[in-house]
Amino acid sequence: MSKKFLAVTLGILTAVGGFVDIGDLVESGVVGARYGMAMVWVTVLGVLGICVYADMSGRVVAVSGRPVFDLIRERLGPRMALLNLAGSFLITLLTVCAEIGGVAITIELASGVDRLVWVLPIGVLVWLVVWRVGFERMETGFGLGGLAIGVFAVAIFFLHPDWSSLGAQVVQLAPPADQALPTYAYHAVALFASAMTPYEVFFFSSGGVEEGWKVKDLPVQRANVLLGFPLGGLLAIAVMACAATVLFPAGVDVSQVSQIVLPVTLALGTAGLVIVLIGIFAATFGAALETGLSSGYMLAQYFGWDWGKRRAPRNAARFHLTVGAGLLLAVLVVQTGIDPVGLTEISLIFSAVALPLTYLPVLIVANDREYLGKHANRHFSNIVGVGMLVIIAVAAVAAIPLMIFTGAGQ
Amino acid sequence: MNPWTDLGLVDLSDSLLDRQITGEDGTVVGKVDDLELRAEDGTYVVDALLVGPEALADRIGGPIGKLLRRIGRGFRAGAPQRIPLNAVRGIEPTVVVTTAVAQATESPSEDWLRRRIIGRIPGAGRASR
Amino acid sequence: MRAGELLGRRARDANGRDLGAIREIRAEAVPRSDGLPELVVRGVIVGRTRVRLFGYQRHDQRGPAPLVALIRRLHRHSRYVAWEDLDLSGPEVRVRRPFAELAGIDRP
Repeated sequence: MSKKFLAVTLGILTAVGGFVDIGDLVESGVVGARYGMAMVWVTVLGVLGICVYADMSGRVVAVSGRPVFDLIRERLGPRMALLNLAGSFLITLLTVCAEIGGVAITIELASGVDRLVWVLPIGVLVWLVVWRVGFERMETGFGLGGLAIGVFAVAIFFLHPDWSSLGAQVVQLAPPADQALPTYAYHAVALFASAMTPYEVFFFSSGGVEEGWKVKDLPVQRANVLLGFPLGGLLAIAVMACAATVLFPAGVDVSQVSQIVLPVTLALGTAGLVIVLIGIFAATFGAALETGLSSGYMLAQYFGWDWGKRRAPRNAARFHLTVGAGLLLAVLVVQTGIDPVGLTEISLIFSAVALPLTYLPVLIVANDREYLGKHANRHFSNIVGVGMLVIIAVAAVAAIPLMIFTGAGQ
Repeated sequence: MNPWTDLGLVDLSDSLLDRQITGEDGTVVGKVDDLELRAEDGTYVVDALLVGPEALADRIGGPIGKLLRRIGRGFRAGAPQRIPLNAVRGIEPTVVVTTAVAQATESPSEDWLRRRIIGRIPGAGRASR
Repeated sequence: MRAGELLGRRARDANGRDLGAIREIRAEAVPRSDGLPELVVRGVIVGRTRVRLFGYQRHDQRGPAPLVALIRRLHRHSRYVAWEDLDLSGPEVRVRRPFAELAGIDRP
């Protein structure tokens, strides 16, 4: 039983890195404080989208052993795949910076010692985990640790919110009367793009290879998808709901992690604060690992290098050099003292390139009988997959004008 | 033994180019960066799979191709590695080649980094667990 | 010659009509006299669009329907040219037949 339970931690860690990493945590708080629950539908849409595409990529891995960036190079050819690689790599590297900054902020909140002191030690610690800790141990530790963010869900009940008003906000599907539509649209695009950020499928499919999925593991793969991503989405909605209950009525404009954890402290006191900080630490640290490793996965899979934690580092030298150099660069960037959370907003620009060019080849190969035989896509996956691709394309086109027009959602 | 018979017609971009090459023992070789064609009886015959930054650089072209070629040269990767077509054992959809050929196909950059940097860090010889 | 040198070369038909460029090389697997298989180039696919075929010329690459329709539409001017109808001597590939006589791109 416990073994079966632990087999889904890949999905959980991937989803934690996708939905409650530092950028999304702050974004969920910002959105909850500004719009109440009026943007829950975006998170639900994001969960549906990432579930369908993670399932496709997971099926391809279980049947053929090929991770996502292999498919991208093969179907898009060397040039378009290189364009995607450039976009995805930049998004991922910016996110690595943000996560390392996020871990530092969390330790600062817990210890009171300035965050810049912690940046280098965190970078070294992340690298040590990449270098030495086995894949499954890593996903169990940080995936389950990140679930401590679930304390937000507990906190809501202690805050005694007006449930009917929260419910009314959920079904409203539009901004409150005093909020401008373009800014609302900007936040919707940002939330959706981050839910479907490409490193999730890179990490999920490469993780499947690391765990050696075969056709008989298809149920494990599906359980990972169906448990992990909805759980990640629920955590994000819980953060949103706490902000909607406490910060939205007070008209607080959120910009910092300390404001986001405020509702939990109000509801559960110091104990709640301790748990939530552990959760954020595990989630951001896990996301740093997820993005750090993904940067190596995508480069190695584009060029055909050997890669992965299941190899001795000396047998995957280029992979380990990429991950190590990425972490070093991220440490240097964060050490300059720039706002790490703000960094993730820039990554939206690169999403415009990377999202369609990542999900299109996955959808195509998931329909290829040469790859998947009888495990190829059925109607449901194809209908949702095509629908999501259209939404992704619209979001990608709209992202940059909205960002300029609204001054990044100010 | 014959990976092609059940295929009949093969579209080279679709079924060969840019696919992953591995050995029968699982050795990771690289990508099919290009194909070498040899003139025969008025047409061409696929002679070898080409692996390496030089072959890829030619297909990408432009300044980025040039940059890639320069990086490859920096690691003393000259002409691309050739894998003769008769070493191919199957397409599944990875291009599987014989173990001997897979192990003989080396990457100068991987070797250099292994010897000079990664191999010197403590713990490089053991897989993480 | 490399496959990469053939792919992307501009092509014109017998009447001087622009056919776009070579997008795909079609080969046939045939056993050699010593029993080993060989891939012999039989023809190419020429087309105006730079969007790839993504494998949709194969019958085992199916669906989703809207995507198939889109790729088919983008490749409505793409044709298969048998090797003996190609003249590779110039910088531009000459196809010895007019566009109307060329076969479709589906792999039989």
